[in-house]
Amino acid sequence: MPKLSPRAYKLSWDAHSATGIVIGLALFVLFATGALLLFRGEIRQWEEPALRAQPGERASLDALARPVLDSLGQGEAPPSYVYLGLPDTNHDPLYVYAAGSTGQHDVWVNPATGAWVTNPDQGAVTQTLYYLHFFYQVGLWGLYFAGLVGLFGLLAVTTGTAVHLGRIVKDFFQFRPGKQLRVAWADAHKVLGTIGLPFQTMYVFTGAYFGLVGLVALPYASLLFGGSMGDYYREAGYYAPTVQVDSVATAADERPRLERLAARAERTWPEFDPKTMIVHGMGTAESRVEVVGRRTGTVFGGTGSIVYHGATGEELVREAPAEAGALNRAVQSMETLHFAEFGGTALTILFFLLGVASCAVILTGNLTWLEVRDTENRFVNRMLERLTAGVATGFLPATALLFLAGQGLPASTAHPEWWIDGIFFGSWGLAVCHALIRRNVARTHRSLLVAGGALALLLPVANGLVTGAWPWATWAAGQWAVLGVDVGAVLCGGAALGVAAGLDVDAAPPEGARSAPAGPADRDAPRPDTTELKRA
Amino acid sequence: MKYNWTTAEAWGKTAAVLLLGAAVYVAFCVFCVVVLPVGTDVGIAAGVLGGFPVWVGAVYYAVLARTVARAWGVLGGAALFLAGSALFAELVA
Repeated sequence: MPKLSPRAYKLSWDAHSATGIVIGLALFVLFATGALLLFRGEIRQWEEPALRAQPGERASLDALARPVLDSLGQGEAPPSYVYLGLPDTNHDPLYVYAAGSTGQHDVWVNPATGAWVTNPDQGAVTQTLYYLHFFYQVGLWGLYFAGLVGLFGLLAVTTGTAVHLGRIVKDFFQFRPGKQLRVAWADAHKVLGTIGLPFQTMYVFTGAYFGLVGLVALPYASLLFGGSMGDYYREAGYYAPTVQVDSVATAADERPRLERLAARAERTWPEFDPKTMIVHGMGTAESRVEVVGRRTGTVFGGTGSIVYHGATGEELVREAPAEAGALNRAVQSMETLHFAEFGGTALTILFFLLGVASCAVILTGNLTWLEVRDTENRFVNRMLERLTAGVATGFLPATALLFLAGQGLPASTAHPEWWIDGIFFGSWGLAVCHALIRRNVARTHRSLLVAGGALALLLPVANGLVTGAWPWATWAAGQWAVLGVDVGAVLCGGAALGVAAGLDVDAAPPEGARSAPAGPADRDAPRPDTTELKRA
Repeated sequence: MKYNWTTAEAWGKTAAVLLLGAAVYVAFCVFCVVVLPVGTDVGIAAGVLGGFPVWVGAVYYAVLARTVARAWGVLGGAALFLAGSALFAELVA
């Protein structure tokens, strides 16, 4: 393996550590929420009993969508724009977004019962996690910030790989938990980083694109598409080609038969799987229906689309997946990879574990940097150490409370999403404050792990008490999504309690190591007890 | 920090990272769609997929450059060359 010159090594190391320290905690939030959101469909069913799988066949798209659209349009004026996210399986909910003169709405519909819940008034747990994944609580700037974090994450991955390139194989087989703390953290950082390198590279790359696409597309939109971002997204395979639709006066009030059009689209090409349907001008003479999909089982490939006349059902234009342009193929392949839309449940679980490992890579890198500077005893380092504990470990109890709040809020609560956001961010903020004022960081980690683990273990209990869906009932009903979340919560809770039990918060520090923390809360305090955050 | 950074070096290279990294990225995107003899969709895809590694390469170069002036000169020159080529191709076309 080639080695860097000493100067290049030092500069690369500095670039890697500076980038990691600046973006580390934000990147941790992206990976932690991303790992959870790999199961967003399951979590949505867990928090919304109306969306849980029920026995019976999936109802037709028309039967599912019509009551929703009638309700949103008050039965008179159908929404002018309707977007349907089609279910992948018979148990997945149908997503409906409708916009028109009555405003815009989006709902999830149970594919068997037709029951629907609005988003985000209900389904707020998934929504909160989803928005946090790209900091959308602060709007578009949050999204751009997430993209920048991804971009600098790419820099951190590159510089980190360059630094370790000369001994990447040796480091991979080296983990010495019995050595000094900084050695143990550094070993864990390098081993986990090497294992997850392709995974992390893929996620920071695709994450940077999805976060920054609104800015990335600007030069293209202005240069090539007359300033239209919609045309850029069309080129990227999200929409069908534009087409002129002639009006048909004789069928002006006829709504398109969605199920029939989806079935026709599915038969257009071998293994074509319609993913979305978009209806423009529903119920008008110029109505058109776009069906966009991709070939089943493909990871790298673009979307194909067919456009039908909404009133007559006549096929207006088609573009096969095999004829997709380079941008379409590139962007849609990134979508498939980023959202783990391939490989089934086993791959989703693997991605979840790699996501958790990536969180560990970020934290061990952070902790290594802090341990190396432990003797400097700088206020900023002490605060960063505590902030890391509050933000990272505090995320666990806050998330568990988020899930509990999703089940525990009374149905009559107005604006439940406000309460749920308040409980989540409030408890997370409390965890950070707790970490900042407590001088023993190891004990902070342990207390937050115990709180988070205990709360996570309560999730199946809360679900059973509130909805009656105890694990044995969901097993019998075949509600695997709900059961999976319950089991996942128990496993996560058990793991957190196990780590907490393994932390040796009273271990003696290495000779000549740490002196008194210098935070404001400590200035009048006695010298700290000899505590270290150590693996047992 | 392992390297002995001077204040001027740290600020000069940080500014190069933030400003010229973005400039090289944008210039590369425009270059791909205007100058490369490929279709529009291929040019955009090359800009989108290649732009991020180019940005990382530019930023990494700014860090590794011997002097701040060299970092600014090389990256500024690269951005000007890419943007100038695109402008020239646009005017000639």
